[in-house]
Amino acid sequence: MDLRRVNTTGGLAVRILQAHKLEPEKQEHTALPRRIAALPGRDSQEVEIFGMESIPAPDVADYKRSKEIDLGLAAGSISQPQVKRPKIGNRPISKDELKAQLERITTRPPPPGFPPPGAPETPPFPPPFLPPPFLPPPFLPPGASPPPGFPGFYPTPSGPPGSAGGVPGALPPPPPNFVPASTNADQQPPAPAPSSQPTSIHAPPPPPPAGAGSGSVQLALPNLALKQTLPEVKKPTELKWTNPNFSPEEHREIRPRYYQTQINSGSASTSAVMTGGPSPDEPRGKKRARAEDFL
Amino acid sequence: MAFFSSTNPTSVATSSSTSGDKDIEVTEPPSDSISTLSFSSQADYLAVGSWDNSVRIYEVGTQGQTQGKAMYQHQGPVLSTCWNKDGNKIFSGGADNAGRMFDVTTGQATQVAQHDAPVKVVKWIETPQMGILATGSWDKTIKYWDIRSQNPVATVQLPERCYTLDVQYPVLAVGTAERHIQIFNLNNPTTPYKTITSPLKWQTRIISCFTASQNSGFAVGSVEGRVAIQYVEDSESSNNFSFKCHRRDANPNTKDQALVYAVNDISFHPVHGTFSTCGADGTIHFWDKDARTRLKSFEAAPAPIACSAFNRTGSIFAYAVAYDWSKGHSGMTPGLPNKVMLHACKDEEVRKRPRK
Repeated sequence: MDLRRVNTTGGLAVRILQAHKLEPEKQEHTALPRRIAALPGRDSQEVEIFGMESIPAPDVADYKRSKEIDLGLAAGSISQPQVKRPKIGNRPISKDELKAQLERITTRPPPPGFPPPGAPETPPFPPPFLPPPFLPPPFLPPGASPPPGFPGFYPTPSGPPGSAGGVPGALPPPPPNFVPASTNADQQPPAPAPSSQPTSIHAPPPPPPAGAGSGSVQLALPNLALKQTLPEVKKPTELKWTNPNFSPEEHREIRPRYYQTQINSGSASTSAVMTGGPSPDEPRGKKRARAEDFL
Repeated sequence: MAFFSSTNPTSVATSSSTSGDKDIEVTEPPSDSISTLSFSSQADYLAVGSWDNSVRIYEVGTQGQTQGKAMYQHQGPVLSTCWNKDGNKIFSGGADNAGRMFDVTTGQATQVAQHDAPVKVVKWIETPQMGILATGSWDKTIKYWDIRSQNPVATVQLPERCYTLDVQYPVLAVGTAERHIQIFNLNNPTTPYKTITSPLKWQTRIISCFTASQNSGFAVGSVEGRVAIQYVEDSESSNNFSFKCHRRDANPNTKDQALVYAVNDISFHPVHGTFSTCGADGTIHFWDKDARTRLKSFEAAPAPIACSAFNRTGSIFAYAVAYDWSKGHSGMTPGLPNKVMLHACKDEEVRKRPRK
């Protein structure tokens, strides 16, 4: 009894020859595929098939054609090699090429069975990225009042420029229970903490230097010699943030909507729009701010 | 006292059955994009900074219900917030070039730091001697502040604009424009302990230091959907690695992962040392750096995830679905969601897996 498994007929023949010292061709009673299980015409030991490798091409073609007949497909839909996706280079197309392409389209009918029905659809360009539908904005319905027991969020009118270093004047006192439960507030009275000192000492900070925000809302590199470039990518990718020199926040911060407030900190007209806290009519206020931004 | 769920598995089961598996939305969200989230180190209070110049403070209840408690203003968009160790002061940095402190016991906001350009990061450092506020700015400096004094204790010149900074005492790691990374030993806070170029080849977006780790190190996230795990000491450098994340297929039929989004934030779990990444693709993932496995993926949100934070016990994971300017001005469409969500962490989502 030989428990060894072999993968191919050739392997079996060699095994019989070497391990059992027998001539495979001459042993009529050995269980050789040629004698017992082979299809007519497939009893040659010359063909070495390993897995799906090295199947003789005519046999593959025969098989595919028989499949086509079985499935009732047009001749060639399986047996013909799949049509390759045309190569698209990312380069301008010259006039001659355009002309040739136009001629090809107008003069020649599309070849039958193009593209093969079985092939996956591969449009030359990926469809534009569609964001999933947005959730409804998480705001209170207009006219709804904030839930009861909500002491904190009042719109704080922004004080005059430099008022005690930007302490909002009309900030409502926090609720008395707003001492985190597990602090050691019991041992340490909160009021005379040393940190309350600087409120009186702190002079208004020096205004930011003029260079930081005099009119120009362009991002400028501090040192042009150190300008960064995007490194090469190994495979085609679509990088979503492609500026190697500035972060998204830096771009956002120079938008007029955000930038003005930094410089003209005292102008109540702009900051009123910007800093208005949530209030019953907040959704409308927000929309107005956005519309302004788009104009 | 833990909220939502403790590490005790029985209470996990009970809390998930009562509150359900849905993440809870924070009430009364800011009126413009959320830029930063941070939890108090003492209680479940959440500070939320946003592009509408304000910092809002919410109390998070045991069932995830939230209540606005206080609010204060910057004179420009708020870019970063943090709490002090005692949980009674909130610090924030903004595009008004200022660092401000809000005293939760008195309700007063004071300016405590000043830069020549927007303050991108504020971090509280609890040294054995005293608490120090570190501010990192686009003016290419880090300044250390004793909040009782008007002038900085020290100023460090950086090679480029500060984009991100994190502290796990005594290590401070800062990432700047042009992919510089500097590591400071806070026993000598003015001289870089090490200066390296980011292991990632694209713009640095976020650096976050390991928690609950024997060896100090940090995770770096870049705009090119990739995170690198980097140890501070050279002897550990064999454990450095990077992996891809926050990518999507260009179309459903291909598995090319060709759309590459920025990694917006990395938050380490305070107890287990596992971490989250969130990206401009609207997804969040939890990872275990030692087992090098993904622990959990969230369903994609309809807008980018701008920032994230764990609370002090790691039972709550807060994340902001908010526009991160990743598509520029044209991406700022009306009706884009802008909200803070609270996720009750299940133990198996954040616990380390056995190393392979």
